Amino acid sequence: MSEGRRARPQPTPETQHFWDGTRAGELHLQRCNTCGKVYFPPRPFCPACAARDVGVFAASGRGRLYSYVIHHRPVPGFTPPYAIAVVELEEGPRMMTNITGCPQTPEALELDMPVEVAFEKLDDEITLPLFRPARR
Amino acid sequence: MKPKSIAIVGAAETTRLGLIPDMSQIQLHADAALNTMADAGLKPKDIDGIATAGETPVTVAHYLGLTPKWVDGTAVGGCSFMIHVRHAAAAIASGLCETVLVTHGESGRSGIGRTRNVVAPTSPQASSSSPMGQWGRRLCLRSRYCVT
Repeated sequence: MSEGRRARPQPTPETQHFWDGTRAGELHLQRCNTCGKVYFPPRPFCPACAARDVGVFAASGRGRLYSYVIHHRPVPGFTPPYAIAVVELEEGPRMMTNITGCPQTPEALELDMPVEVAFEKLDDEITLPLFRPARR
Repeated sequence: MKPKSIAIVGAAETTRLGLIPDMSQIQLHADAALNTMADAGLKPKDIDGIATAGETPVTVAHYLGLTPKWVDGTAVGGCSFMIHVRHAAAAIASGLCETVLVTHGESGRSGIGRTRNVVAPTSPQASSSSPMGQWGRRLCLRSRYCVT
């Protein structure tokens, strides 16, 4: 791994539940109780209809590889080449992430391939939701 | 600009005022914006312009679920937001957009999720004013009689 470390997120009162979730091995999403929209990243209102009545639920952790780039230049905390990916979750939202557990090559990273969440502990407080090829 | 052709159709503050340790800066923007949208009877899809400072207009637009076709991130200190109103009126008058949201939020006392203004240490301000006490300088310029 390159020197240095990944940028570390800092939870806020609005995002704490998400980081509590990843630390416990759950991927938390939110759903609007008014219009049903499922959204990410976390916030205490619906970005579709502006309602404040929203809930948190544990997502399946399953999705598909929507898009990616393979990065070849050195960045603190990463060993190139590595894939920066967008995963479309089963529940709808898209997340930016990395794909682990497979070669970082176009041959191994097939668009629309099923992926599943793979939690990577950064420290005692922060665990990042990365994704790997689904084992089904 | 035709007189009285543009109006302020909603205005609001955050739900609570004062010490709010359970909201971040971006959420203070959003809380006031949601109250304003409710005051005006507008939904995110009704808003096609965003202006803000402190946070970037892009950050606020993403957070609120807006897809603006006009943005303004003019940041010239505490009067930025009045300038935003004026810019918004000009943008509407020239047909660039129809409905602009202007937001401000500051977690001044709690300091939750606060953005920071970075001033290069080589700048005139950092070289000639900051070492002497920035806030004192501002008071001096404002009052000419600085006795703090």
